[in-house]
Amino acid sequence: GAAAASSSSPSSPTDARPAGAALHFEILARQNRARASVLTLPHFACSTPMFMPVGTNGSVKGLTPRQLEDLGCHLILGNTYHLESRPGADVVEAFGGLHGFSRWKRAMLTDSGGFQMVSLLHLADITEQGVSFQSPSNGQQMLLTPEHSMRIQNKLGADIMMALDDVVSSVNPSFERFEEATHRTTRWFDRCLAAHTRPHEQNLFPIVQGGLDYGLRQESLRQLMERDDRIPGYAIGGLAGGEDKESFWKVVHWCTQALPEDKPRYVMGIGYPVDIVVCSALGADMYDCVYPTRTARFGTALVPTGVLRLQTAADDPRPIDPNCDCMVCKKYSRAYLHRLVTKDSSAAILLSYHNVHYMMQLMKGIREAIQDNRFPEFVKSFLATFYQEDGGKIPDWVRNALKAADIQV
Amino acid sequence: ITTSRGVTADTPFGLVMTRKGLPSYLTPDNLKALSEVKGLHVCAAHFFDKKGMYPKTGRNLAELIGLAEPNSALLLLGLRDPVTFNINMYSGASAVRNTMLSVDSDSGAKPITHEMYMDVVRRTQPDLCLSLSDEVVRNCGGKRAKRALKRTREWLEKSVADFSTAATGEEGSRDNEALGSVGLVGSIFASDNLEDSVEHARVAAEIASDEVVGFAIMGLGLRESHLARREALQSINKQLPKNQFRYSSGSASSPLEVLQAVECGVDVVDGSFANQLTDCGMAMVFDLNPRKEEEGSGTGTAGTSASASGSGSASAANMNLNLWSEEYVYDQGPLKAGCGCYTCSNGFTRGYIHHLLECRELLAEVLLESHNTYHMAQFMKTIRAHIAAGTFSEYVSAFRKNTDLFHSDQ
Repeated sequence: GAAAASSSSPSSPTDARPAGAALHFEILARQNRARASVLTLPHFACSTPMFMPVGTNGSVKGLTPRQLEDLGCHLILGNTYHLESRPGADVVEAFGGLHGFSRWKRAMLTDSGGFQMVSLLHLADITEQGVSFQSPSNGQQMLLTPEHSMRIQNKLGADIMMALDDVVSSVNPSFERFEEATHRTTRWFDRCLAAHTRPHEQNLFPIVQGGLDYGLRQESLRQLMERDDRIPGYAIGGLAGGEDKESFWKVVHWCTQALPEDKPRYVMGIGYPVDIVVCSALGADMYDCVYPTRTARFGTALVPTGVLRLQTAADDPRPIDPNCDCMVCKKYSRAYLHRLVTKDSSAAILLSYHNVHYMMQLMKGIREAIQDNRFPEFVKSFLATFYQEDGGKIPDWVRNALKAADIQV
Repeated sequence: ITTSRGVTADTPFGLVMTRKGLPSYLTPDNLKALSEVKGLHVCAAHFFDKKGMYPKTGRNLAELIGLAEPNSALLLLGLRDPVTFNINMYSGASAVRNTMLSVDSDSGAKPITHEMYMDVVRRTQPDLCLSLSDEVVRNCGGKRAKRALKRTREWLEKSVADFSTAATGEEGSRDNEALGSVGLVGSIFASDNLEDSVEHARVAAEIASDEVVGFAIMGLGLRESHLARREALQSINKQLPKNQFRYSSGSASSPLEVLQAVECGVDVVDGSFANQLTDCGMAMVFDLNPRKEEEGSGTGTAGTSASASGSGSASAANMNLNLWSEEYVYDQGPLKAGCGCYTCSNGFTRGYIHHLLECRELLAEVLLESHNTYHMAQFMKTIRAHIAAGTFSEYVSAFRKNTDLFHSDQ
């Protein structure tokens, strides 16, 4: 039978975590506001800034754990809503938690389940108690409370778990709703803290809310930081929902400026390469998004100049990226991949493989540039290549955001 | 078998089915880990689309599919994909009159000429290629059956002619230089008239022995009885030179049938049924080492697990597991205890694979395919070991008895 993962023992003999703590964050190098760090978690010591691929149901789109390790992934995400629906947190717990179940040995993070509910479910309704919704399997009225989310995530056993927050779409027009959500998020975080049964093995992160409003964001930050001694790391939520890019970077900027330096900052739902570079410049450390693997299934590869749609690469004998050293680029031509995409599973796997490699290499580039004290040069070079097909024109929001990060482009 | 690019394969071995050259769920890194896989079956029909044959770039097949390294598997090219597409029975009339062969592809039925097929062979330069064989079902009628034999023989003659000019440098043979590195496998059609088939095989041996590296016995697996299949394989086999290998398509859709085919002298077996199991969410778990005694006891028995359900009894009799079944929700056992494949040796459980299937996650098929392909390759390895040790007949008896036990338990 499968051995249950032992999540309370140190991940290595040189585990840097203080006794009883589930997380240790050490900044190795800084340049302006960017930092390159080591985030030591019970299952693995992760290098940040890092991108975390999403393994919705416990697996990352056709890639095996060995391949994910080969690609340099340190942490993957599991979706609480999906896993509780199927097969159920109790089943996963019986298998030794998500680690035992999925055979991923390195670090994992689970979300609270709230976001998926609100975005996926018909008739999801938020009250002070929790998120009430209609179960898709039997139509029954159900309620996801902060306590329930903690119970589920404690069973899943990920290194990092997210507090249940009151998520409002960032394009929701009502200020009152944002205000309500800001305060309720704090109240729910307190309930999460009280209900969390494994603080020495799992790290509970709160999520800063407040929409796109400076005042509300400051209020959320202030309230959460009052609880700083019980917080191992912070997430910045309520973004990646279609808001304008000026607002997007400003919210990240306000939050990273205010949050404690010595704790990791996780910007949720971010996966576009430019967004990641900008957020890293502003001092964020962790990102997750379905984008690289989802776009792979639709036949789109990530390249330094943006994206490459294999559907229109019928006779092109070149690899996806001649400068990429991944297995897919070393072996296959665009012409061959063109024949596979959207028709054969092997295409989805091969493109996911390349896209994850691309993201891992991007993060490595960011980290090394910070450590070598040449991060601004890295950013300029990245942007010059990325916007090459637009005549090198860098969008104003990128320029403005980097200026706030002391990088002139 | 040793190919011109130095790939070697010990026989008997099984071929792994592919789609457009690649196994459906195994990327080159995962396939490489399956070192006992000796060969892949590539289908030319997968390389046709509305605009014709692709890709037009100059790479040979091995490079195209990313399997050009030394120690990689051997590539055998045929025309039709026998797994995905049945014989195209309905658009054959004009094609047959015009010596064409109608075959189904992703973009519909395609009439293929011998020259079109040979063009694919020249461009892709597989290690081995089958000569074309006609495609008819059993009991298609005497005239049609006779025509099938005739067409198959004519295509064989044409292939032999093409291949024989490959090395000579004669005028008009430039095109065929590309065939210099390819091994021709002469196809023989096994129709339901045994006498005709045997004569056809004799003639094929006469015209082709000098040029081919092996022979393919085609037309089986299409409603004939096991007895008729055995008769066909054995009689045809007698007509063929001993020093050339035999491949047979359609003669094996279960482990017992593999054993029968090997008993009848087949060296290269169509192993695609293992891949078909993957597509159904099933895992192959039959015992590779059945004991002669009752109740297959000892190590290596299939189907034992820490399962809460009752599937642990009569262990040696379980041939395949259907991972879709709810009985596996809490099953923490591996697909097969003691299996050395990636899936089983890394603690992936039946319960997890069941979950992945339920969520329609691609990793389910990846893990199942890794296991099924490994298990099939281990089966062939076991067969080779028994042949080498002179114990193959005993192995077959023990295997049959084990399977009969299963049937009698029911």
